[in-house]
Amino acid sequence: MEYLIHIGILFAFYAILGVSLNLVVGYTGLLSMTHAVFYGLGAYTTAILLTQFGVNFFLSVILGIIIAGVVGLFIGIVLSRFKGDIYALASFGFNIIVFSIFLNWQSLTNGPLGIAGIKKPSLLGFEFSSNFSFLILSLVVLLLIYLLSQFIVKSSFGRVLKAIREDEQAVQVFGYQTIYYKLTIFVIGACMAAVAGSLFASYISFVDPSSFVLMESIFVLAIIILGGLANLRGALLGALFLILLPEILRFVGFPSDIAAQMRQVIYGLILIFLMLYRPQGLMGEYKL
Amino acid sequence: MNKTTKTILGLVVLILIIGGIYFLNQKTSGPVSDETIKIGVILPLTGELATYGEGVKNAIDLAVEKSGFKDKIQIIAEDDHGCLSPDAVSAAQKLINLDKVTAIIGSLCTGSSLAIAPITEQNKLILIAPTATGKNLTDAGEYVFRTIASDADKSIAVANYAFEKGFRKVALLFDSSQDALVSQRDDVKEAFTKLGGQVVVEESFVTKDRDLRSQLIKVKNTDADVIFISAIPETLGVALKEAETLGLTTQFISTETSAGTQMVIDLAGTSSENLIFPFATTPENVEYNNFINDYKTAYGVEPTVYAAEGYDAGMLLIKSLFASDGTTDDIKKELFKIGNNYYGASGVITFDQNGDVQKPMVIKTIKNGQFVEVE
Repeated sequence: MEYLIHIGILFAFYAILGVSLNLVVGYTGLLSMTHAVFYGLGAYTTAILLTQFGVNFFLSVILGIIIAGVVGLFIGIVLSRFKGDIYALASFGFNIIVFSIFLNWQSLTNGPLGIAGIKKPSLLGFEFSSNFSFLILSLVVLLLIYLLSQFIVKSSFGRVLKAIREDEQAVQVFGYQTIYYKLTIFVIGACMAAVAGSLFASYISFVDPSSFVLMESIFVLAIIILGGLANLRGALLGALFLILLPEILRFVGFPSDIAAQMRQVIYGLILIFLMLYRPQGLMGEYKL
Repeated sequence: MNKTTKTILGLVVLILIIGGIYFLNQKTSGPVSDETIKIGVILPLTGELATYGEGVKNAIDLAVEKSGFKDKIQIIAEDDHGCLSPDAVSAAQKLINLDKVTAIIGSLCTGSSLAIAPITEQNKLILIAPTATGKNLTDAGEYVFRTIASDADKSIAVANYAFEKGFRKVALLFDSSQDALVSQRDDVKEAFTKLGGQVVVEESFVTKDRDLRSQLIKVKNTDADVIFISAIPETLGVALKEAETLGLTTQFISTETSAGTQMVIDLAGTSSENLIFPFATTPENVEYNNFINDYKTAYGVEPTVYAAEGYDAGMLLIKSLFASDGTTDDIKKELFKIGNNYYGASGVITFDQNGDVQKPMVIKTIKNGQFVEVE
């Protein structure tokens, strides 16, 4: 049961990341590969504040959101000069830069040694120390973020985003300053990812830079491409699928010598087949 | 929702259900014998660090084989995909809650071991990190042990040796992407400067780098009289070779985990001559030689770095398990009892009260393609 709760918690983290990235990639069509940066910023903010300053978890979440928002704004401004494939490449660059900062700013992040002993959240005297209570907390946060995202995409603001994705020039002709729309949604996505990062740091109780590599951004991108771009439920389904799949494969009875390698192969094959037969993802409304 | 969507969704659900059935099967059936003791192993079996993970896993299997309790022990190995902490945590949760293991050996890196430690502590299980050398594992928990000396000891030993031999200006070359290798740099720096030595230059690289020429040239342009390098064996081998091509004749010093493997000699050839490093050892090296022979017979290859530590972790755990009444506190007691001046493959092991080991050390070097002890 604890194991299922653990998987549920991981699902919640990646669902938050998926939903938030879907706003940027799925709805607005900005192929961002830098989501792990904001995830990491949230995680490190919580890690440092909790271990060194004894700040309350929820306060650290808010600070994490602010930091990710500021960094997101800066990255977003730079990225707004690019379009399409180049945008993806440039965003990829930011992921590498921030990863290097996590790795090399040793006085702050402790470099590859990471920060250990991060406490569980507590609120008004109640400590979320059991995994079950942490699961509930994560799911509540996920629900809030999901509802907020739904509100955004259904608003007139959300409709402009979709229009930007389809034809940015046409939207500009109607007098919209598309850059502000793109920046706003990028920053919102960044802030949401930071929340997932804070939860992650507190749950795993240890952060090191290896959790925020480029691969992590690509993994989140895979979640929403697989689940379906521009569909919030798709992001949930994608996260569920990609988190469950490797865990289920742990139970497939391969001979123990090659089990680990076989699992990776099967994992890859399933992804390839899914993309082959379902390029728009499980519930997608838009294809890259 | 059109037809294809439905089919696909159906398929997904089907996969999940099949998965679920597997999952339940695993839970109820599995090995039925009550006598079997399950030991969980968490290592990087795929990814960048798979070579080391596989080596340690093989060594643990070998320990089971040699312990004489082969029929009573089941090893369940899980992958943490290259020391990723969330994956290590998933593996630990699975091993503890579904497989109901009695103890866990893992992981390879300090970081992933630190991520597992709170879970084993909470469930009151022994965790033996066979190869995690980071300092901060020392106070990770009451039931956390390791069979490798904390980096600090070895790094300090080699720094002291270099200072004794009259070297005063050290250049530090280090892999900035591995926790263990960075802390080796820190320890050497601290020990060397404390003695009165001086760090003239620091250059870093990352694990996947296989060309250190630019770093070596920078070192060559300083007046360093000794170079400390902390790198994985592959990188060290390449670096030594490049240093020779560049005409860099400064003395190299390193650590056991970087240098104490045949791979360095194979890769660097004659360029590896005179490399100096500390080595944890038993007085006659009998256990070590036996282990190497057994490993070669079983797997047909030389043991990898860390394999000996994995073997000792497996052996000590199994011995303590069968000497105890099965409760974690008793296993812990036995670990302290057996792990006291224990002659293992990786040296003489004595656990201190934190579950760390202190091992006697010698300084080794390479002469004519052989590891030899320095007087």
